Amino acid sequence: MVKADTCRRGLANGIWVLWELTKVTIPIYIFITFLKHTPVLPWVADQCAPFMSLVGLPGEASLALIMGYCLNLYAAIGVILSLDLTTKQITIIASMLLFAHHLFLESAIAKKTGVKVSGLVALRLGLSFLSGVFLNLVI
Amino acid sequence: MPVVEVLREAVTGSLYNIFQMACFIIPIMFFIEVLRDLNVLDRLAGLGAPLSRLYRMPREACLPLFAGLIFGIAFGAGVILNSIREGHLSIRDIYIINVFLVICHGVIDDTVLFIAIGAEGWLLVVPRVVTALIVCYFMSRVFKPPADHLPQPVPTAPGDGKADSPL
Repeated sequence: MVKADTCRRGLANGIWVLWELTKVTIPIYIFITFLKHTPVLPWVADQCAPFMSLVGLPGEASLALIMGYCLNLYAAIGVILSLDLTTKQITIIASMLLFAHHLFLESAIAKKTGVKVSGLVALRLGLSFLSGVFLNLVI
Repeated sequence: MPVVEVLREAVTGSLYNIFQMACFIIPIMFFIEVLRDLNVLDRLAGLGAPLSRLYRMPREACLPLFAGLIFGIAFGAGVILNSIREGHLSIRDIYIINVFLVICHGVIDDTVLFIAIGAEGWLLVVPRVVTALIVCYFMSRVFKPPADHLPQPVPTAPGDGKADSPL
């Protein structure tokens, strides 16, 4: 039966879960906001540019990947829109970004559930790259 | 770099982020409790029975899996935290759910973002779901389930195990 207790429990669970997530979200969010305002990400993107031909993308697209991996999908889409990509290239970069994005924050959230996250991050980055290579070959 | 400006952006941005999560998490936690008291939750978990059998997990594991698959990883993790507190999941189950969700989550809203800028939608969804299913299948075979979850998990009464929360 649905009683007042049901609502009380739902609200209590919701607030508890939200609080647990808030504790990890705020520090990471502050960190990535600072990161966004430093030249670190463009520098890393430059180092990765030569490898982009393996997934059929121009060198400049590495910035979109790095922004997506470290910050979020919106940052990556902002960069993608500034490039002139074909439908195939957009599909490739979208797939790579969907496998791995927002890594700092999402890993912190996953860690909250009690797992070791280094393996998860490696898995995501590996699958991200493989999906790019795969789609570049099949489309 | 103007530190004060950046700090202000960080604080307002993170508060906004929390607010967005609150808009999702609190109503849905509410909704889950209502479903539980109407005994709909057991039937809903039954829909995931083939998946939980495949991965040799308790039926309760499907709830965080589906929640994360549709609503995103923060929400999936929220439901996992709640399930852990209720004592339904072993560490093995938590790993399998996490691996599934990091590969594949928020399949609707994230995909739509990219369809909007011109990507092929089905090429974004199908390979990801298939990859998650396969990787988790291998994990479920490499890591053996704890003995008490086999062959069929004994359903735990709602509310049990709250006292011995591992968190």
